Amino acid sequence: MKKINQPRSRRCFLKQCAGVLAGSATMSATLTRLQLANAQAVGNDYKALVCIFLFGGNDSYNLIVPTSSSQYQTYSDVRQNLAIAQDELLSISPITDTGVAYGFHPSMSSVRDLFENDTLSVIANVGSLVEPVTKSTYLNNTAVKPPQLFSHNDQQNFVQSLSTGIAKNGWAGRAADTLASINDNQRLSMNISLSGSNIWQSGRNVIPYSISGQGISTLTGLDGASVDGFERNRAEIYRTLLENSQSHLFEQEFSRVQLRAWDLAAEISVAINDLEPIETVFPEGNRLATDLKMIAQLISARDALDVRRQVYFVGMGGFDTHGGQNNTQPELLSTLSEAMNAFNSSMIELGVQDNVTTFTASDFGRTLTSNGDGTDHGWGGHQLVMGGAVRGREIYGQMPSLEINSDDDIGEGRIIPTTSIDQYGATLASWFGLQAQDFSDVFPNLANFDSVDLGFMNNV
Amino acid sequence: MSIDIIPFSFIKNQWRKSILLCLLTSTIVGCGGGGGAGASAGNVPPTPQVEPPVEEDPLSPDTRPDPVLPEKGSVEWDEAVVAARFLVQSTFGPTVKGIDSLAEITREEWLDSQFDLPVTYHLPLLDERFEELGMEILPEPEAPELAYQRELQRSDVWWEISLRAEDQLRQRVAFALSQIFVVSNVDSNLFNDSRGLANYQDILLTHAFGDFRELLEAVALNPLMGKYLSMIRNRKSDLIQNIRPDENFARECMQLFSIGLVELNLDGSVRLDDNNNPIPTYNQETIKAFARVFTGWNTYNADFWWSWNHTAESEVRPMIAFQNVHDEEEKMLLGGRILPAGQTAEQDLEDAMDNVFTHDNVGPFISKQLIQRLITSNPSPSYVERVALVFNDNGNGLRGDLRAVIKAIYMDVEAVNGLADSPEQFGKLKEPILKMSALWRAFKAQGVPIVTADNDLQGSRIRFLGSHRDLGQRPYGSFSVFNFYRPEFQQPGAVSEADLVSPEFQILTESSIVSQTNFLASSIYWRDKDNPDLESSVNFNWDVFPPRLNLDEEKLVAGDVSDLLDRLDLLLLQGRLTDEYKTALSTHIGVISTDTDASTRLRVYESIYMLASSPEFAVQR
Repeated sequence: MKKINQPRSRRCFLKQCAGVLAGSATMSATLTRLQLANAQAVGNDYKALVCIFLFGGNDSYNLIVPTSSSQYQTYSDVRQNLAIAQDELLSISPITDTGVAYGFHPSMSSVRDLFENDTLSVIANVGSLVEPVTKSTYLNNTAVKPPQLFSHNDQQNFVQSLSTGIAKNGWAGRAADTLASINDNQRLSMNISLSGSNIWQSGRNVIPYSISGQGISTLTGLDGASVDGFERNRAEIYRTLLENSQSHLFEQEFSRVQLRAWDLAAEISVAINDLEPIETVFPEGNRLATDLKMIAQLISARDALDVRRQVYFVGMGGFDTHGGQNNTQPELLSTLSEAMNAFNSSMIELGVQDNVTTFTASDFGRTLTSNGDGTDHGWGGHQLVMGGAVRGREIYGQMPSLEINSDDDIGEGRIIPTTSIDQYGATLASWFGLQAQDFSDVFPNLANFDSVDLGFMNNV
Repeated sequence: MSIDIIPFSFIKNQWRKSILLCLLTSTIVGCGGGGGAGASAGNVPPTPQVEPPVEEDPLSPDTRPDPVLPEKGSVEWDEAVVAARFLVQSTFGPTVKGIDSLAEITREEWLDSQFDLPVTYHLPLLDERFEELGMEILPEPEAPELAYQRELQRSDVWWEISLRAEDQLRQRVAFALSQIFVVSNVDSNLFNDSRGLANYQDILLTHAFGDFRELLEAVALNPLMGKYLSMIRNRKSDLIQNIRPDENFARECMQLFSIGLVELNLDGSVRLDDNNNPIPTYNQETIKAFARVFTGWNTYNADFWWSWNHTAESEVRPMIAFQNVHDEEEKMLLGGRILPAGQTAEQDLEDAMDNVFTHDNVGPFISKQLIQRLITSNPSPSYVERVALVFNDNGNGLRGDLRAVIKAIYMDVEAVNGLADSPEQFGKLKEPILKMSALWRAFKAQGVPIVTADNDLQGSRIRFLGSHRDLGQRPYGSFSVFNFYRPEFQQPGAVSEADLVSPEFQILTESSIVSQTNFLASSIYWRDKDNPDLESSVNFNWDVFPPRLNLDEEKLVAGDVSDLLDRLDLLLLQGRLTDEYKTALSTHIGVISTDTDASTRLRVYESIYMLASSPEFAVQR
């Protein structure tokens, strides 16, 4: 393990002490308390990571595009009927001048503005890698590669789990396993999903909690504290039924989910209903925005819910643009852009802009070449990171050559990633507070890469 | 002590809430609501009378009395439990009449009679509905504003046939197939293709007991699949424009519809190479070759390969070939099979289908998924192998005979005795659609009277197009071609630790379980046809309205708590109601008197709800 940023806060010191004194649960609990007390004394110790997963494989080569004339020409040659017109691209001014100018897709004006005001950065050509791959190691089959490149569900699994075998858990889940004790509220999972089950947030112990962006429903007619004695009785009988372990594994599991849902929906409803509503206007008819608004509400309830670290997962579908890409992509990207912008505004409103980092991920990038009406499954692609703790207005990593059959291209413009998901995730996790000793477990392929912190987060 | 009815008004309130929520959150499909022009009781103009149908329509709601059930503890009861369990596996849910009919015939006889029943097709009934409503069957053009109403009709037809058709086994198998050969109108791709979807369902019904090779080809040439996986208008390479064939259908046809990603043993386990690594079934070069095979297709009425001429008729006709954009170069497919240069689009497609169909993986790959959809999430390797052997050879040398495969799945010793051999693991979580269908079949869902804008009765309909909002699942509404859940999904925790898979748990989340359970309540309390406070009619724009139930038989036995619970136990839990829970429930519902019809109904609702919300009902065993 190289170049991991050394932990800075006294919390880490105490955590290591906890390790030395291990064996006493009480002592550990006391130390956790101490850490929190310490953290609170230091400042507002709350951090959340928000993953926006672009299901289907986002064609990010149209999300950010070179605008310098020779590079644009290369882009336009390879993309043909899918290319965005040069004068429509929204130009940006990265802090580091690489000599090549870039612009965002015309439907992403909000993201461009976020970039320009230092709130957002681009991570170039990220993708599934076990170890660095070159075109020659790919072609002569000597590179160790993630299983089943170009397959949707396998690549979603790898991006989320970083596992080359059967994935049992994901990197956010494993991170939460080691960090879980920091939250006083042990009933509510550190990991909350707005898009249902996902491997990313599942740990060895941590089980993600699912919530709907449409609102939190409680079980009707099952209020154990109802004024109606018959309802109380119903609730009691039902609870007894669920708690008495049935012999069948699936029945037990159904009961566990129901009990968790029953109790937490009530608790979270109370926490949210007691708060001032968020004033930031989220765009209408934008499902991602609706989900992100729910996340904002949950974040605003962090003190009521008694949590210090949270990981949110929200998915957006429709990115598998094999057909009709020119029709669908503008809407997809504007939906993403407007939702991210509203979410950022709400974080400013809540005064937690520096505490919440939002990032995108996707199955894979897409082919540079067109199939006539769209693009097919590729490999590396660009991602966005947003928040007050992000070192904004920058492009991190290496932009690939967009020339067909370049050294970056394994065929049809399927681009070999130059930054791995392990590196991307580790940089985020380092900011989030993952301890040095836990990186190799959470990011199993990280040791195969030189740089383990991409530098896009302000870690202080 | 008698119970006041008022405390249960929560259901009505909950209804209003969910209706309001529906209005506030209308997404792609929309949830109707007719501008709030109230469907709720008391707010609507006078009801048109629902006339009972004159002729004996097999799809009309069941109003006939049930045969008498055997008494608990008798030999006949035990046989009824076995029959009910079998019907959970093989239909959309057991009914008393269905259980009774199995008392006289064997499982095999029942299967054979199901195989021979005429197919209940969806498209003809849909067209009939269009006509009845004065909607054109083949409107030119298919105006977008018609799409929602057409889709409501299609969904009604899907539900009414699935709940009531006699060919239950075929309908159930088609539902399973629709989760392997997935098309979905959840995004705009298949917008306004209701006839096409009904026809797609009919294709699955037609081939459900037929030849897998023919099914595969029918799916490949279906224009909805063509649109969904962008094979339509796919063309050969154009080097000048730097365009190459679309890989979408090529990839998913192999990965999801036939052979999967890695070589399998006959028993469904992954075959390993000398280094203990899985062996990929194909690589990117194979995908590219198949992508070239699937070039040159468009709708039957297209004038040119690039025409967009989609009509209500082109949705239901196989695509046709346009040779001028078909890639005629040589292609190397699976197992090194070479398609010679110069073949037509049709020849290439036929040969490619043969190439896929004869791959050794198809038997175990398809057999295992069918077992998972119909019987159990974790079949033993030997069960998969026994079925795969039948897939490979039906006994008469025929490969891919689905009738024989389905029979092998249901007659297998594991389907029959799996529960006894592995009581803690055998079976599957019921997907939400099958949970609701079981409830609605058991209690003879009558539908709700839907009225037009002019307040004319459309008919009594099973109205559930918006099922995804409450259940997290809608037929032909999966999030992607990867279905609602993956066959290998492992619920984190105990299931994963036991190295088992639990596909349906992928959509059982903390948020969906609450809305599902609440929806069960909304579908039970005050929903029987004799409730005098029922809504008089339902606006034509609603996309969810729980049907009225026929609880005549339950009310008849409600006076005896034990009899009532036994009946419900058989129908809903297949005899798995524990003595302990029965005792607790008896006390609880015994508090409700049967002095009046209203309180009797309340006793029945309460009993049904307490069983339907149980973990036992949630799991098919």
